[in-house]
Amino acid sequence: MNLEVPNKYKGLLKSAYTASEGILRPISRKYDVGEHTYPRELDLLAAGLNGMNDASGGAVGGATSKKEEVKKGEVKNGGNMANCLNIQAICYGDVGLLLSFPRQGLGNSAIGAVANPEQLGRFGKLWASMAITEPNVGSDSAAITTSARKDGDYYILNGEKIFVTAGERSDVVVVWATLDKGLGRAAIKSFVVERSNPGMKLERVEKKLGIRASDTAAFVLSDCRVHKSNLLGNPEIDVKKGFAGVMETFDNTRPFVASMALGCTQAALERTRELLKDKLSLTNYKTPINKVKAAEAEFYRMEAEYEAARLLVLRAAWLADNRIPNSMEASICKAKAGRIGTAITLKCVELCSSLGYSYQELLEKWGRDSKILDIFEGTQQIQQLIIGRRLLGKSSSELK
Amino acid sequence: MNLEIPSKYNSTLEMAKTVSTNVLRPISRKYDVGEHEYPKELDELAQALEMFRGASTGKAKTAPNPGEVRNGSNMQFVLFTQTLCYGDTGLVLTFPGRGLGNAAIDAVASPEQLEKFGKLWASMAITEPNSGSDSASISTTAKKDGDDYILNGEKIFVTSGERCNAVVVWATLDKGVGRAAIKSFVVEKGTPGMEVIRVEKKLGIRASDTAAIVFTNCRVPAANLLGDSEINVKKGFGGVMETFDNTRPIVGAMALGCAQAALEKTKELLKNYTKANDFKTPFYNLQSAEAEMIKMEAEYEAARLLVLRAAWMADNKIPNSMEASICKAKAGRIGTLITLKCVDLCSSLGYSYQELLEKWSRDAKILDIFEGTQQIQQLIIARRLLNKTSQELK
Repeated sequence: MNLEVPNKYKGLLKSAYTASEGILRPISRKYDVGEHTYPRELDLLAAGLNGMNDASGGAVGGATSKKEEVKKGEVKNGGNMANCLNIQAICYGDVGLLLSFPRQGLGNSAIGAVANPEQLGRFGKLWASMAITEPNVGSDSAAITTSARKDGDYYILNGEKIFVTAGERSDVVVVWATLDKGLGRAAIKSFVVERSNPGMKLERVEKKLGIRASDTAAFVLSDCRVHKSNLLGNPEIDVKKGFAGVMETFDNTRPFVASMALGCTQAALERTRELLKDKLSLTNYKTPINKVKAAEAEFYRMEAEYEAARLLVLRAAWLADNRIPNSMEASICKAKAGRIGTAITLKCVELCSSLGYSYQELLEKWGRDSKILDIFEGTQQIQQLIIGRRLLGKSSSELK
Repeated sequence: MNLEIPSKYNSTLEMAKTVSTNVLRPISRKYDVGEHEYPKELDELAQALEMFRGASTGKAKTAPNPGEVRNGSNMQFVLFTQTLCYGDTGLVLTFPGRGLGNAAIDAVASPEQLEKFGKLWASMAITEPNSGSDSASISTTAKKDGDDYILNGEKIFVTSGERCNAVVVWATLDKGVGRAAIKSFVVEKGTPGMEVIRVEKKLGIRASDTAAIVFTNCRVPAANLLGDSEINVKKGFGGVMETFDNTRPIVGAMALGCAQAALEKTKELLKNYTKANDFKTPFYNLQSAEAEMIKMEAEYEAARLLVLRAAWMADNKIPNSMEASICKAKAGRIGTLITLKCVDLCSSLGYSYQELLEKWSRDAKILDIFEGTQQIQQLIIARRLLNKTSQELK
């Protein structure tokens, strides 16, 4: 395993951090306060980003890189590692804004992963969001009730979807629906639905704890007609293959979400170090930890947690780059980074006292932004469940 | 709720403290190193032991009058247990005459059985090589044969199993019927067919013997069956498990005693190195070792109040199954954390045999395991909170 960050990425990362500090940070509070205002500054950035994606062989938001074969004995640091580092760098600027980057939605990942060439041609350049969660279905995504009924060359979709990130701003929504609720996971298919489709109505955008720069939409689908060519992947219900294909998308995206948590955490740690530099000596790595000030000791512990999470993320990315199955490691890094992200950003609020708690600094905002990263793309509990299953060699029906 | 400690307990607790400091502490390391040696010094503790016996059996049998608040024997007993474990947890577990089996006998024995077994030192045999926390799955069998039962099976982790006079053995009359068929039998030492096959070498509580016992066609009189001999599927396991509602706060109190010992010793050892804490300096401006101490004290106090609450509820005949689990889970957890952190804070003194700190950290671990592990306590709490049966939430 080689977790060294390759030289070839250093230039890219430098420009990502520059964009973070020069463009995102200055508008961070503006779109936190002005929730639901479209951050038009991002349109300028999007062009630059596309260039970066081409260079790194992957996309910042996770439109999956091409599957490249790894030669025997060769060790690669490829698109996944580059993505993780990039995402962290951007989220060091602002997590909410990253989630709102045009054409970098989770739906784009799904399209990148399973679309056929014709679909890739039609949808590849669009901004695609992803609609899975329903009012009564959260983590157990196999239990969704939105239905898709075949009618000639069309499918007719009915149901309600919530928590669709970038749902309002995207061009298309990738909607999960079941062809036959009785058949379970295997009958769940994803459909690309244009935002202009009259059968899909935007119900509302949520007011939220954090990531306020990103819009979170609720949709109602009533007899929404979608052409069969918009179904992603295999239209047949293959009970044998089941859910695994769908869930693979998440093996890829969990390290990205973990990287978001790392970026947010890094921002809080660095700002705290700066704010407290006259009160504490935070570079004293020689004094035994029990003899330094309590606040310093907290800081060192947080740095250690951050480093541990960072290495776990790099490992999961490295495994993916080298085509080694990483489902367990992806969950481990997501669980750890999500957990320490909330713990560290909140502890920084506390350490910086009035500056930490007020709107004067962004620390309280990071304390809010980090929470969703421990929830979406699989909650802490779901990650632990996945880890448990992999460790014990149990299927999802054996260990729920 | 009144968690004030009544002044009538003062003399008892003072006596317990004296025993702890003057009798238990001085022999603490001796029986830690000399595992499996019988601590004969305990035989001389007759008075304290009578107290120990009296306190645990003198449970309030009647409900308090409306408006009356009672601080009774449960509270006294948890305080007493904590004070003695402040001396040495392993030695407390091996006090002659008082085993977990006695709690079971007291709880369900008939007057004749109480007469016959009440004075015995009774240990309790539940765990088997293939059955731990899920005690409903035990496979030791009891087959009726005339006026006797014939026991077959293997029991492990029997605290005081070697030193006791009798063992209360859990066995099933019919494995197919489940919990309701599990009965407990008093088997006196010397009964043919019952053999102690080994005593364990352990991480902690080395002063206490932990036996493995094999039953081979062990014939026990039917009169030794505790409680109802019929298989009552409706009533099931509840009765058996009630014993544990009573004993969980006591184990919580053991963890408190052990944690208290470590905290006090640490304060003493570090008094020249850390400023005497005035509770005025902002927390983050303290030296990190002091901040750790204060956090540990807060955890200890929280656990202590939870134990007192569970005991208070029992004294006032308020169902306390959930609160008993909460206090056991908290005290067991912070007991291991605090004792280990004290080892860490006291560095070479903490880690070496010079002090008892390393021993307390070893002793503390079992208190988060036996009488229901951390996980089992959380399961019980969840069941009570969500109002689910053991069938619905496993």
